[in-house]
Amino acid sequence: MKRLKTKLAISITATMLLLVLCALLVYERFFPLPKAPVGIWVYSEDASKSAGSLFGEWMGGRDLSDALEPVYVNVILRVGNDGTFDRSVDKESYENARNTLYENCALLLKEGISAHLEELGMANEGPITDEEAEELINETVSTDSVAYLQKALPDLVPTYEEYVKKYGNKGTYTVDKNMIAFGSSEAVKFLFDKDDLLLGEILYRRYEKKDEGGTK
Amino acid sequence: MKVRKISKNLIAVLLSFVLVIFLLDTVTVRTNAITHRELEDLTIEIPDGSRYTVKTIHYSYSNNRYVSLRDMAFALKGTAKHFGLSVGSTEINIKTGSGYESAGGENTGFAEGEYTTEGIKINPITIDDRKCRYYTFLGNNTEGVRDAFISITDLAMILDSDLKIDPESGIIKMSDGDFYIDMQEYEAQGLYYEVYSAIVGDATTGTVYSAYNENASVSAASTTKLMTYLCIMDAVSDGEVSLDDNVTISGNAAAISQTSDGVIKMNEGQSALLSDMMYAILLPSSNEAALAVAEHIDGSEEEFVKRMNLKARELNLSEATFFYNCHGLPEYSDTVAASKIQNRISAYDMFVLSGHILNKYPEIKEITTTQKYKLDAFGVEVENTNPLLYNLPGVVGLKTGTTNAAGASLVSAYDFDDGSSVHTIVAVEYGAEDATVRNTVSEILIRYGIQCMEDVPQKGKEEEAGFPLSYEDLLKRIVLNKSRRR
Repeated sequence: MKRLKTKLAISITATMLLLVLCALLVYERFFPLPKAPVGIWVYSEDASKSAGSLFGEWMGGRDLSDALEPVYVNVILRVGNDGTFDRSVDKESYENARNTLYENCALLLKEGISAHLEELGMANEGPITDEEAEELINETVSTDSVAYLQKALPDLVPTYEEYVKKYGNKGTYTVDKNMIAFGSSEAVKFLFDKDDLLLGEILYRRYEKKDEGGTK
Repeated sequence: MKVRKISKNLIAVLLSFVLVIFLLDTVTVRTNAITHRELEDLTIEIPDGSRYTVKTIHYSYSNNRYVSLRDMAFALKGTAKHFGLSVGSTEINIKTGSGYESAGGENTGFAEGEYTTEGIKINPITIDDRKCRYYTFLGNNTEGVRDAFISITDLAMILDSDLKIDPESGIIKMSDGDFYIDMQEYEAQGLYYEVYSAIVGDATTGTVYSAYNENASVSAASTTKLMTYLCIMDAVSDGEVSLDDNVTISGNAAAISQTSDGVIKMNEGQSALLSDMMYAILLPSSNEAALAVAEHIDGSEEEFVKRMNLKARELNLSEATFFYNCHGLPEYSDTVAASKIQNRISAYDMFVLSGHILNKYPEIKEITTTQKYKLDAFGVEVENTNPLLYNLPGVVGLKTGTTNAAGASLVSAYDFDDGSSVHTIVAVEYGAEDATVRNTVSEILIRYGIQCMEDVPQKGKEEEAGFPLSYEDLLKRIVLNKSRRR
C-alpha cells in the first residue's frame, strides 16, 4: 500500500511538472520573454565617403566620394545581461582611419598636380612622378604632402571627440518585443543572431576577440 | 578757214587738257589717295604747361585719332619723351630720346576743311633702328613738307608716354609718367568693344590678368595652325615622324596653293624637309604646307583632324573648341543644306593651348621669332605675318588669323624675365574689325601683361603671401617653382 502511494505521488508530481513545463512552453510560444542582444558588438563606419566628398570640393568641385578606399572607424557596443550597455569609439581604429585617409588624399593630390603640370605642358620629360610631385610640394610649402593636407584641410575627418559625441553613450537599456532603447534614445527595431545585430539600419558584427584584440 | 583752223586747235587743246586731267585722276586712284574731311586741330599740353596744336585726322570714325608725327615731335622737344623724326617720300624714321629738327609747318592747324593723304598702310617705319609695322598715312603739310600720321595710341606706346585726352577740354595731356594701362578704365572706355573676345595672362602658370568674352566659341582661322604645330611636334616626340623627314606635296596640297587661299606655290610631287615646313606653316601661314604635313603624318587630313580633336579633349579644352581641318580655312559642310563651317575655339582655350605649347615645346619660339626664312625647296623667302614681332622687342610669337568670319585675330606672346625664371605672357584677340585694331589692341594687352608681371610677388614675397590653403593657390605656387627649374 505504502509502495503504491509512493508511486502515485511520483506519477502525480511528474505529471504536474510536465504540465507546468508544457504550460511554460505554450506560454513561451505565444507570449515569448523579451531577449536582449547580450554581448559585445562592433559597427565599422566607413569614413572615406565623406572625406572623399570634402576633398573633392577642396580640389575644385570634383566628385571624389568614391575615389578613396574604404577606411573604418570602429564603434564598440557592449550589452550586458544586467540591463546595462556601453558604446564607445575605438581610438586606435579612429587614428588609423584618419592617418590612412590623409595619406590616400595626398596620393590624389599628387595625381592632381601631375595632371595639371601635364596640361600646362610642363611634363615634356615624361609624366610627373609621385616622388617629383612630393618634392615640388615640399619645396613649395616646406612640409610633406600629408602634413600639408593636415594643415590646409584639418576638417577632412571629424575629430575623435566628434565621433564620441555622435556614438558614445552608456547606461541602461530596455527591450520591448523587437524594439530596444539605449538610455534616453528613441527605441529602434533590432534583430540579431549569433553573428549579427541589426539596430535600425546599422549593422553590428559580434566582436571576436583575436590574439592581439580588435576587429577590422 | 582760219576760224575753222583755230576751232580745231582749240578743240585739240581742250581734249588734251581733259585727257591730262583724266590721267592725273587715274594716277591719283592708283596711289590710293584719301581725302579726309573729319579733321581736328588737337591741342597737346606738355608737363611744363605749354600747349601746341597737333593736326589730327579722325580716320573712318570720330575720335579714331591719327596725329601728325611732325607736330608731336616739335611739341615734345625738351620733354622726357622727345624724339627725332625724319619722313621721306615713303619711309619714316623715329629715334626716341633724340632731338628734332624743324622742317616747317609744325603745330599749325589744317589750312582747309579737307586734307589729302595716301591711303592707310604699313609704310616702312624704323623706330630706334628697328623695322616696325605700324599703320600710318603719308602726306604733305601746308608748307609742302612730308609728314606722317599715326594712331595716337600707337604713338603713346612707342614713346612709352602717358598721353591722355581730357574728356572735358578735349586736350591731350602729357604727364611725366610712362605709358600705363588702367585696365578698368580702358574697359569702361570700350577697349574690348573693338574685338569679339580677348584674354591676356601668364601662360607659364596659367594666371589670367584680363579677359573679355573669353569662353565664346569663335572662328579660329589660321590660329588653328598652333594646334596643328602641337600635333606635329607630339608625333615627332613619339617617334612617329622626324623633323628630318621629307614631306611630299600631294595633289590636294598643290591644289590649295593654286587658289586664292594659297600662300606658297607648290607642285604635286615636290618635297621639303618637315622642319622647313614648320616655318612655312607658322610664318606666312601656308595652308598647303599644313595640309601636306597632316597627310604625311596620318595619311589623310581626316585622320590628322581626329588627332587634333583628341588632343583638344586631352587638354580639357571646352566644347567651344572643335576642328574641321588642319589649316583654318572655311569650308562647306557635306550636307544637303551645305553651310559654311570653320574651326572653332575660345580665347581661353587658345590661351591654355598656347601655354601648353610654350611650356612643352619652347623651341616654337625659334620659329615664331624669325622674321624671314628661305624655303629653298620652293624658291621663296617667306615673312612672318605677326606685326607685334616687329613692333615690340621681347615678343616671341605666335600666330595671326584672318577670315571674314574670324575678323583680324592674333595670338601674341612675350617673354618676361622676373629675375629667377622666364614667364611667357600670352595675349589672344579674336574678331577685330581690321588689322589696325588687331595690332593696337594686342599690343595694349601684351603691355598690360608686362605691367601685371612687374607687380607679381617675387619668390621672397611669396613667403609673405602666406601658406597656400587652397588647392588653387598651391597649384600656382608649384607651377612657379616648376618654371624656375626649367
